[in-house]
Amino acid sequence: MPLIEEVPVMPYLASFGGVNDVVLSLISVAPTANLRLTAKLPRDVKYKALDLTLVNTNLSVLASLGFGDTVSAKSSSKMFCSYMDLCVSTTIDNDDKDSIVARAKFGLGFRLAITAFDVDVKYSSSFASIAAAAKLKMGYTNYQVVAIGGGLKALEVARPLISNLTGDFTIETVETIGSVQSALTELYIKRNDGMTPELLSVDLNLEKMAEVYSGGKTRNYRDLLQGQAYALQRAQRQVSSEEAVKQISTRPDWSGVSKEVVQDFYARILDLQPGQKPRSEQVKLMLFGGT
Amino acid sequence: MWQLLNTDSSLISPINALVADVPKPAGPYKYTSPNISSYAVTSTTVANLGFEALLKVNTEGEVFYYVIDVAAYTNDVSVTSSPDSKPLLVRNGIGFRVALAAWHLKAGASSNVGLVAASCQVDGGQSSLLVKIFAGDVAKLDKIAEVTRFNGDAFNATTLKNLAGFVSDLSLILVQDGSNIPPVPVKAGALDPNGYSPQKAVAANHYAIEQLKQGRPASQLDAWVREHKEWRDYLSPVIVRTAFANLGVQGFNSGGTQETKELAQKIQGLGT
Repeated sequence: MPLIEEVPVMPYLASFGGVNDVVLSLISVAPTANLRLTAKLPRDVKYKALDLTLVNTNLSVLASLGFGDTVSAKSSSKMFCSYMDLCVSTTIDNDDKDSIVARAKFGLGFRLAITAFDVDVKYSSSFASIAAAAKLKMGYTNYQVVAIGGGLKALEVARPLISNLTGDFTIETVETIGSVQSALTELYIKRNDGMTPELLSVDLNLEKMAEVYSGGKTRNYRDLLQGQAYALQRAQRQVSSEEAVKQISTRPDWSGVSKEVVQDFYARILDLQPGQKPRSEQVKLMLFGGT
Repeated sequence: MWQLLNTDSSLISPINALVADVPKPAGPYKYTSPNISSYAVTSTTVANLGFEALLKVNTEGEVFYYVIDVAAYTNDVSVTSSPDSKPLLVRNGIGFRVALAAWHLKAGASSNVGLVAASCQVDGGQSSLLVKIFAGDVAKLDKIAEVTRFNGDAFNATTLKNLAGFVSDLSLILVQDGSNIPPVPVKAGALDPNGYSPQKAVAANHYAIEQLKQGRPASQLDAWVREHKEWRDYLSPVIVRTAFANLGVQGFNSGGTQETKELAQKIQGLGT
């Protein structure tokens, strides 16, 4: 099963729109009925240590994870956003068959967001090099910490990190991260004493997403992309669904376009009958984003 | 903003009225580790949050307002409706809130509180602070009550460091007495009011392929949307990332290869 791995989310599941156990961070990604995470963590969880990898991301993703400071930061093309999970974790399979959420990772520890402004791109790839850039006064760096799960018992081990909760991302920060990591590992892996882990990230099922976005016509994401790109262009030229489907066979380049995806696009997204001609403005926002 | 989950401090005042009717949970209360979050806000928001005094700054230049929350939250999350029936996510907690007005800032120094502090320290920027404590019971604790001595002070790197120190104090208090202090509604996150629509999914996918056709990374989404307001709340970063991944481009900083460029060109050329 093809997956989009480790989409970071806020740890909130709630009832929304009459549906229980919805992963709230995903509500603009799919209908709530396809966003349920129903699998529960087993009572006796075995954690494993996470690799400390810095994940490059963008500003809106950091904001969606609850890093308030970055919301106010004015992004520029010279700004690099990244985050790192400093956690022990465990992954479970989701058991809701309609959900685009295939697996969920739960963790205990901390999530760090790091932003760097005006830092050379070659320094943006690892947290040690960002710290080095800060040391050399090459641009501005900033970090913020959010605690994930663990409750109060985690506090003592994390005090060095908490008292440096926000500020420049420096070599000292890197050292603190190292010591908190070993303390966390000691605390949670060797002596698991019933703390509550929180949802960290989810793996999304690409086939299920294609199915949702195509009204059930395909489980192949590439077919979805191609069929909808074709349909958008045809609709922009005021060609009806019926005609657009016939025209697929007129050019060899178009032969891979899925008839069903095109028909679904016209019927479900444009709300048109097979013979009805679309108006160009119906597809404007969908067609011209990012041009 | 088009964030999946946009923490909007302007929604705090209506929330207080809304959740007043909800029965308070019984103790003992369980809090997660405290943290600091800061927001750039408008003068209206600062006033709505009860910091009207900061509006009296007498300057001809631009005044910037920020709110810094030092708080610990309970694990419970509830979704409720705002008066205009937009979905809201509510979090309860204890702690305090600092409002900050800053002016005469050096150009470019307004983007986050760390830079504001630096500008006030070395570049002649000026600032004023006001503090409010959320839960009355926290104020009885000496160490936290001390925070009110910041009232009227200027903001600088030392203040920022002191605030971080209060987080440590708050952590200790939570360990010792936290389970007896009832939480109050602190924060409301505005969930995307429009949520998902099939049109948005098409738009985000098509946007993504267009970026790869032009060799641009996914990280430019924010900058692009800021310049094109019609697409605000329309392009989900998760869907954009999904389409990038389907063409074999991982991560947010890569604009792909010559190969993905050609592939994207082929897809965007369909039907033209």
